Amino acid sequence: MPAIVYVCLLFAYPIVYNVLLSLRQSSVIGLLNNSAGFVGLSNYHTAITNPVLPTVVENTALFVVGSIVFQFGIGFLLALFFSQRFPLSGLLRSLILVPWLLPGVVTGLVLRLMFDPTSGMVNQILSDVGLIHTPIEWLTNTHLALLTVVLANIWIGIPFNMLLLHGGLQDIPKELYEAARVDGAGRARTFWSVTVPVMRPVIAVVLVLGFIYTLKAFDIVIILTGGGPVNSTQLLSTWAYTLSFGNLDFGQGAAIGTIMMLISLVCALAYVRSYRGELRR
Amino acid sequence: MLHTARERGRAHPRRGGPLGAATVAAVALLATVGTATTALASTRAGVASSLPARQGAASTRTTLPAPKPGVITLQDYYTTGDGSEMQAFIKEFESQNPGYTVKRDVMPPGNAESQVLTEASAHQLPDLLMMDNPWVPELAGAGDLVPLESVGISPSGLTEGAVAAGSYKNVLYGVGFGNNTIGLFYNKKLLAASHVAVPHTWAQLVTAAKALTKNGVAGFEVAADNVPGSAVWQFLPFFWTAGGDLEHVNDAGGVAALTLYQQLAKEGALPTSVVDEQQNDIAVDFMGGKAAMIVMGPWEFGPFNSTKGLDYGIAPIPTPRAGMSAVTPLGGEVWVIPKSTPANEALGLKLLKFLISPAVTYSWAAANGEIASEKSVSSRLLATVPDDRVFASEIEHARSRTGEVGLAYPAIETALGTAVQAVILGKATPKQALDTAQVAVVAALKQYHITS
Repeated sequence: MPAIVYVCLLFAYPIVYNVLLSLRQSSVIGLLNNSAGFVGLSNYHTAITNPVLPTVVENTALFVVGSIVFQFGIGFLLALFFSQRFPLSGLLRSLILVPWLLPGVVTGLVLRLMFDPTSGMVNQILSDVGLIHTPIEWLTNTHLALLTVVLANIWIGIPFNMLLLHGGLQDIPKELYEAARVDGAGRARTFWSVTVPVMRPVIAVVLVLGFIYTLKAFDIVIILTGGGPVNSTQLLSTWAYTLSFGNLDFGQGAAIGTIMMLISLVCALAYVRSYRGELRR
Repeated sequence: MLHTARERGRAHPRRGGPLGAATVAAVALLATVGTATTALASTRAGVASSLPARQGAASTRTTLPAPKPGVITLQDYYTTGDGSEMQAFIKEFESQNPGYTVKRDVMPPGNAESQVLTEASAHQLPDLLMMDNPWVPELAGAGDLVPLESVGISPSGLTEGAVAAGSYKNVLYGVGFGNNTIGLFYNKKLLAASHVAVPHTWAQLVTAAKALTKNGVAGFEVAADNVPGSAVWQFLPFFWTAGGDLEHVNDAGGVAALTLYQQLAKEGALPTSVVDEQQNDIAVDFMGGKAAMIVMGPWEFGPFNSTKGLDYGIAPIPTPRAGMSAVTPLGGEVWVIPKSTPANEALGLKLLKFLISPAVTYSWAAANGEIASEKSVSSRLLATVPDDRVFASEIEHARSRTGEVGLAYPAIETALGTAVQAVILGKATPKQALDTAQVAVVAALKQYHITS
């Protein structure tokens, strides 16, 4: 019973409110005196036909795919690395978690300083090593800004992937590896025939959660670039924010928010289905 | 000290004070009389725009009861210095009016707008509230503010700028300490070292900026961050002076103004890094001698004067041709009385009258380089503060940002800010960038039923 109240109050209410908002002519005035009339799907229509949308969708796709591929890949390698016991492995593993533990705003501000073209550490190191001769405009070049944001988000996401995958690796019975060794399987063979199949449910969870977390990534982008320059790092999440609190067009912002929620929902449902299928097998 | 002063400066360049056709004024008046607010939306489109709003205001005059001693709630984001200036005014008020206590709530400048909107939607506004002038249409349009003429505050003694900043659809809802706008600040030493004269025309600006760009110094900087507040606020003087129109941003005037940015950026005299800089960032560049000329306002007098080795001058914003007057955006905060109970409104009014009294506004405007709202005070001040003269002459032609486009301004601002960035970065020609922006402008105007 308390669980139901909790869910209704803290999950259902905001979601329902957001959906209602997206169906109304929610300008500031309408919102303030509660006179916003229902306009059906017109906010969705406006948002979908908005000339900025294709750019935003493309950016979001690149951001999500780029982030997940590298977060997952590097996270998996680190997880394998730390599943071997060696001196100080526990300490190092905890240190690697730091990016994930820091508040996004703090990370964003520090990275902003690091990526500053003239005084930032990144350009300083690159030019000291002799790799570059003119400073790279990490955040103000429209071709580079998205890459910079993705790099930052990969760095933040690695610990999360590593942590879950490491947990999964710990649960693999040692006997399986021993049996594989007895059968004469090499390292690669053991990885693909023992580790990956046993890990499949964990991998699925990591990918689904990673997708949802990356889709809704917001703080790091808003601090680093605010979606700019010229919308080159505008994602669905930052765009919804700009529409709502920049343009004060709460209806359109809510429409984008609802669309994002549906995408996440579809992804989560697909995962639950495949998980059930897994259990039945 | 410097930090908070700059933060406040940054709070100014959002959207501007309103003035314009009379549609929603009538709506606000209906609300004054007590018409159900739900009727507002439907009435809004229907009221003829020719309705004489001023007369309406007089006819619905309501008298508030005499205030009863008690607690007056006040909310502001005057955080200059340690905020002690405002605190001193409150102390003075309390000693002059025994029995009254002021409960002051200081909002963080960056969040003030969303905080005010949240409180308004929950009807939790204080007795007296400070807002940036562009927010007036939002609250006045919703019928949440007391029209000041109805409680006996007349606009007749105020400067034109003060009336424009505090009005929505020709009805006065707010009065502030004073107003400000932006001009061209230049580093005298750097100009002298390069034998460059202070530019007055666009051609001179380009030549000067080119000559000044060397040894790691940028010749000219404007804010162009994509939080469009400061980018558009700083672009508007060029845009408006060239004849730009916020309802048709891709007209010849707009294109000409953006072509100036394009030219400056192409020559390297306007660094592309400004697309990541807000107004306070370019002020820091100027103080550090990294920018020779910047667009800035008088709220930086304090920080600039206390910067060792900085010898600066102020000139009006350069114009396309010699002899023109620059049209700049009007900045400045206003005090408003939110609608509540007559008793609370009376309390708010009592404090408001004290805060806009000549003694208080004089002391505020003198310390902050603003043009005082009251005409008599501002003329007295101008005789003593020479730095303010440039701004005083500019403010005569200053225009409120929301005057023509009202509630559509925020969306137009976003679109225009993106166009400014695209041109500075060489991603689009001025015409292409503004054509793209115009699509969003048309959509925003249509959404708020603003026809041109």
